[in-house]
Amino acid sequence: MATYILGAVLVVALIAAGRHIYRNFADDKHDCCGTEMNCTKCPHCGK
Amino acid sequence: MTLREGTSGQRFIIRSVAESPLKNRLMTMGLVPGTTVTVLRSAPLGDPMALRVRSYHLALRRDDAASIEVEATA
Amino acid sequence: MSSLAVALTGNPNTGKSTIFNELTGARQKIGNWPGVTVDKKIGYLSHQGRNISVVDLPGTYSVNARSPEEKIVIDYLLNEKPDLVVDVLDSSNLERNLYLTIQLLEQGIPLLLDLNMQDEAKRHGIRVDTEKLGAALGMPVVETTARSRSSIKTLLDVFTSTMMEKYQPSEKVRAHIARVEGLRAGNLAADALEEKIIEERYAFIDSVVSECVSVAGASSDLTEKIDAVLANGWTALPLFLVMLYAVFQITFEWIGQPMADALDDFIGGPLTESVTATLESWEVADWMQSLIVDGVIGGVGGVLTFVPLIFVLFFCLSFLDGTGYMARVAFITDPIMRRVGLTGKGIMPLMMGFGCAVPAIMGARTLDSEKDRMTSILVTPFLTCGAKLPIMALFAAMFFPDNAANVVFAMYILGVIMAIIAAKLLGGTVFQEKGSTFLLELPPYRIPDMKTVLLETWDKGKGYLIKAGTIIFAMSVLIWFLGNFNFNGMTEEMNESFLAALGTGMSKLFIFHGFDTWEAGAAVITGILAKESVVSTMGILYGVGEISAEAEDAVETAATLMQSGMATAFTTMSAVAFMVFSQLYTPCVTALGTIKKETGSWKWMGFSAAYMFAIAWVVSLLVYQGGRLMGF
Ligand SMILES: Nc1nc2c(ncn2[C@@H]2O[C@H](COP(=O)(O)OP(=O)(O)OP(=O)(O)O)[C@@H](O)[C@H]2O)c(=O)[nH]1
Ligand SMILES: [Mg+2]
Repeated sequence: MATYILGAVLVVALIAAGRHIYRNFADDKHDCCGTEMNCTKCPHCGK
Repeated sequence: MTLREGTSGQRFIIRSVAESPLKNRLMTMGLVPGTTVTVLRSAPLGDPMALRVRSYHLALRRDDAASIEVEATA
Repeated sequence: MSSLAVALTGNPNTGKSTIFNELTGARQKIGNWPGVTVDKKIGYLSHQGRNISVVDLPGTYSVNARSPEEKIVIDYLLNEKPDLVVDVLDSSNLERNLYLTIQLLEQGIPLLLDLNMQDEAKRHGIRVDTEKLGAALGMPVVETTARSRSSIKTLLDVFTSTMMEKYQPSEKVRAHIARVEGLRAGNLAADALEEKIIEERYAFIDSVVSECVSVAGASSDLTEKIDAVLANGWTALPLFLVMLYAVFQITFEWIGQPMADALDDFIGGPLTESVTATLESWEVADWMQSLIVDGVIGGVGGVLTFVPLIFVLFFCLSFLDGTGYMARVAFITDPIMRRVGLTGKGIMPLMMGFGCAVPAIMGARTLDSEKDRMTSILVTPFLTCGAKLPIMALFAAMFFPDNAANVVFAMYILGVIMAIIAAKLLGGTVFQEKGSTFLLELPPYRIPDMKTVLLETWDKGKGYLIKAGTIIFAMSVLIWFLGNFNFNGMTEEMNESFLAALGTGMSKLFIFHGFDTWEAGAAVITGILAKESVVSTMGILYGVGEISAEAEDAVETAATLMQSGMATAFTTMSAVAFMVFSQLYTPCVTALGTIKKETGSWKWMGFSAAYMFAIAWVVSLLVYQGGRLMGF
């Protein structure tokens, strides 16, 4: 029983982690940057 | 002479800035004819140099400073 | 209730981002050097019932649209037409700061002048007659000290109460604009015209400044006294090394490491034991116990151990960033950097690479030439980022317990040296565009704002924690899975797992490097997804199995088990070779993605991945074989 519960918890945690990673990818954000600025893309200079 | 030959402690008045890729940026930052510049110090190997211009400090390579014609002043 | 759009503009390093953060509660990066902010950023707040949007713009000396930053600024101001454009000025340096002001006025952009850094101006005995200045230009003027809360309050009140319609360019400004128009109408050649206009602007500024600014008594300049030691001739470089070494001692010896050790003891000891005991008492299936203890705790815990090091290192770097020393580092290293075809200015984005390669690669935008930028992008990943730090710290602690800090320092230096050599090689072959330049404002030394330093440290450290909880967690589960299963289902023998198969394939490349085990091969593969995974993989593969079975006689904690596993898998020399390889090989996928974006080309991304792998392979081989020849 406990095995199943833990399994479910892990699956939920994995989904949450996956969502976070996907969100980061979609929004072009990176955890390691910390501060927001240097990690957004530049809309004007085309670089 | 040009600013290139400047040594620490010397004060100069800018006479003119010759054509160079940096010309516009140098002038924009206040190095226009008539401006006083003081050479503060040099990095290891004597280059680049640090200047005081219009109450701020600016670092510049000597090759780039060669485009600035100056005249020594007291 | 109307809304108000405010834009912050001004020279670099005048405090725009500081004001922006205070106003909106955002966490823009702040540093005491010019060119910190390279892109625009919007934030929101409300004051006296009005919704205010504020935009932080990159600092620029002018708006000639020559650099990407200048283009961002002028495009924004002309196209978005904010209700209020605040020109933030450094009050102790008005002459140069007013150049941008006058240029914006010529464009017909109405401004609110913010004379910032009042505290410093006062210290230098600089007094500005704001009434006169406002009248001379026909603009509202406020005085602020951005670091103080009350200043920000004042500024907000000004935002909501200023009627910009009431202000018209003064007679003086109109006369100036007429003179500039006159010059334009004349038949001067483009270059000469530009020169004349710049001189005209400075003539105007000089007359305004002489009218409105007085300096009482020349104060002794502390910055010059400090620079006489830190940025002068031959003492400068040794002192730079001493400074770096001190940061390392603080991080890996004095403050960070003891905390990391305590955390390691806790995770490896009490935590693992109590979790195992709990799982046992709940009668959880063996495989699930293994997944949680070996996989999650071994993988994520192994990385979390190093969090204190990360925090301490980020604190030190952020502190240095706030002092103004970074610009001096650029100045004193330019002689070296130019000899490899780069510019000292490149040091500033490069130093960000000790945190993470991603912002460092983006920061390369501030470099003047395309060649400098490309070179910087391609060599930055050689540096030891926060994710590689755990690899270095783990191996150093295990194989050089008496000398760990020095070994880690050596690895960091190796990364820097390889970056320099690679820049030289790229400059000689791939990029041959000639001559870079070096023009950099050296800001005054400042005492870093502790709030800024702590917030930034926390922000970056938090990012590391989030990463550990998400991607490293997911990777750990995956690694555990691959390490315990094969086509026949779960296996007792890890050597027969999927991961072993993968790792064995990779390990063939390292037969002459001394670390041709499948575990090391697997770590190399997972490390490309996120460098922390190298440590997770080691934690999972070497901290394994026995622990849950022998939890009763838990004298041996996970940590010591892992040590014994690793100690037999590596010799001292092959451990060094592995550290060298991990330090230099292919950037993680996130960094590769950033390279793709910043260079706009898959080709450069692929190049980066391949050449770094090749260099790492060769250098690591040389180190291993060289070491063996010398009898290690
Ligand atoms: N003493 C003092 N320091 C200040 C004040 N405002 C800002 N600073 C410091 O000045 C430095 C530059 O501040 P930033 O906010 O990063 O400047 P910025 O205008 O955004 O700079 P760029 O992004 O490079 O254009 C930092 O070290 C701040 O702590 C002030 O009013 N007084
Ligand atoms: Mg800024």
